Amino acid sequence: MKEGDKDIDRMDCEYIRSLIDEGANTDTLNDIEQHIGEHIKKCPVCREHLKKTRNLLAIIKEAKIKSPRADFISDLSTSILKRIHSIKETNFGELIEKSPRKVKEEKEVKKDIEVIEPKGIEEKTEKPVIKVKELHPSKVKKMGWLKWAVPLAACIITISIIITLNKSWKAEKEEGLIAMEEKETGVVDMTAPPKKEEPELIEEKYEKGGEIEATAMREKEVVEGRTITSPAVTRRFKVISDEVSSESESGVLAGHEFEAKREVSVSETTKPAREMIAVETGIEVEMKNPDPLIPINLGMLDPQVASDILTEVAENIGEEEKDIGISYFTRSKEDGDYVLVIGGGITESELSDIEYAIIKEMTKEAGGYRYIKAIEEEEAEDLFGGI
Amino acid sequence: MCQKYREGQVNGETSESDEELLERFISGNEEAFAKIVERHQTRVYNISYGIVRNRTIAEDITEETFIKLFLKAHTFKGLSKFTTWLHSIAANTAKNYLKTLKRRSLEVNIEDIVEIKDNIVGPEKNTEATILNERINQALRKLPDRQREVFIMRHINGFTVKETAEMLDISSGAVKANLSFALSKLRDLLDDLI
Repeated sequence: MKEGDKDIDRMDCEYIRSLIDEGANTDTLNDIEQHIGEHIKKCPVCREHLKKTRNLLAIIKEAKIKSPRADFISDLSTSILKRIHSIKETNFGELIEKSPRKVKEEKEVKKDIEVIEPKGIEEKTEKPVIKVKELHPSKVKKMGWLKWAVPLAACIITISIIITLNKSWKAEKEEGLIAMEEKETGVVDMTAPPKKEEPELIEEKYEKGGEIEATAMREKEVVEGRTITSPAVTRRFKVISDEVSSESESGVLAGHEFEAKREVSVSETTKPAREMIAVETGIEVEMKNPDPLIPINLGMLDPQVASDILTEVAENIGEEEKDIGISYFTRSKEDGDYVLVIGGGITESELSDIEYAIIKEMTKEAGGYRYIKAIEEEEAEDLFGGI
Repeated sequence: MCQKYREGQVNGETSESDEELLERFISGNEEAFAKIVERHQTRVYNISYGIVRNRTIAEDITEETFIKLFLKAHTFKGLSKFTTWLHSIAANTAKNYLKTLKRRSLEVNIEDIVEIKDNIVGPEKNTEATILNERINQALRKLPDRQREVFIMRHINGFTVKETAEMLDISSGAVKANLSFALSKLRDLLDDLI
C-alpha cells in the first residue's frame, strides 16, 4: 500500500492476512507485526485477524499429542530388537532383505577362510597355504538342514507334477471320448457324471452391464511424485469388465501433468463378503451417475491438488488465490459439455469477477465450462471431506 | 527439540550425532540402534499419532517404523538429514496404514488428538482445561485430513514448513495453503475462546 493512501487496499489486506497465516507461529508473529505494523495500525480487520491468530496459537501451544503408554516408551528398543531376533531365528528370517545384521554375519563367515601367506622356511613353497577354519556355527546348522530338506523338496515337487499331469491327462481323455461318442451317435449320455463346473462367482453375479454398490477411492499421482488419495465415495457402479480393478486417466491440466487412478473396493458394512471377494478379484467398474455427470479431470483429483492448480492459475493471472472451493469438474454425459461443481452451496451469482477469471483460466484447456452446478456444503463434505 | 536432535545434543550433553550412531549400527552395533530408538521414539510416535489418531495404532506404527529402519538402514545415502528420512518413513507408514484400512472399508477408532498440558491447579481450573481440551479436539476433528495433518505437524509437533512438506511429500506451497485454510477454520470454530 502506498503511503498516504487513506483507504485500505483490499488486496493488501488479503496479502497481510495470508502473511500472518502462512508464517504464523508465536515467534514469527512479532516479526510479522513489525513488518506490517503500518497497515495493522490502520486496518481494524487485519488487527483483529492478527489478535485472533495469536490467541489461537497461544491455546494450541498448550496442547500436546496424546502420550503413549509409559511402558511402551520404556520397552520400545528392547521389544523391537526382540521382535527382529525372533523373526531371524525362524526359517523366514532368510526372507528378510539384506539387513545390517545380515551383512555382519556375512563378514564373519568370510573370516572363516584365511589365506596364509608363506613366511620364513615356508617361503620356498610357491603356492600359498589355504587354511580352512571351522565353519561358522549357523552355516553348519544350515547345511545340516539342507542335507535332507533339498532331496525331500525335490521328491515332493516331482510327485506332485506327476499326479497333476496324470489327472489332467485322464480328464482330457474322458472328455474326448464322451465328445466323440456324442458326436458319432448324436445321443448325450445322461447317466454320465456331470462335468465339474468352475465356480463362476463373478460372471454369475457381476456380468457385464450388472450393477454393484462400491466405494471408489480416487488416487492421484502428479509429476513431482506426490500421491494424494481423496476421500472414499460410495456409489452404484456398472460392471464393464471382469479383468481389472482400476482405471486410470492422464493428461495435462493448467500446466500440471497428471495421472489419476481410481481404485474400487466394496464397503464391508453395506455389502456381503461375497461381493467384496468379487471386487478384490478384479472387476473394472464405471460410475453410474445419479445425475448425468461423469467425473473427469478435476473430479478425479484430490481437492488439495485442485487447490494447487487454482493457486498456479491465480499466480499466472497475477492475483491472489481465492478460496472459492472449486473441487469438482465434471462433464455432462448427455452433451459432453464441461460443468464446474462448487462446494459449500456457492451459487454462480455469488462468484466475484476474479473468481470467474480463475474459473475461465482453469477450464480453458478443457474447452471452457458451460454452467456451474452448486452443491450443498453437506454433500461437498461427503464428497471431498470438506473444502 | 528437532534442532537438539540434529546437533546430537541430548539433555545438554554432547553425544554422537544420528549419522554417527547409524554408521555404528550398520557396522553391527545394536546398542547404537537402541540409542537411535530412544532418541527418536517420542517424535516418531507423535508424527504417527497426528496421522492415525489412535494410540494403539500409533504405537504399532512407531514399532514398525523402527523395524523398517533396522532393515533399511544401509540404504540411507545421506542425501537428506537422518531425521527427515526417519520421519518420512513414519509418516508414510502411517498414511499407508490408513490407506489399507480405507481400501478394506474399515474404520479406526478416532481418539482425542491432543491433551492440554495440565499445569492448571484446582478443581475449577481442571474443568476449564477439560472443556478447552474437548473444544480443541472437536475443532481439529472437523478439519479435512490434509489440513489437520499439516496443522498438527507445524503447530503441535513444531516442524518447520519445509520439514512438514518433506515428511508429507507435498510442496511448501501446499503446506502453507493448508495451514492458512486450517487456521481460518479453527479461528471460526474457536471464535468464542479467542
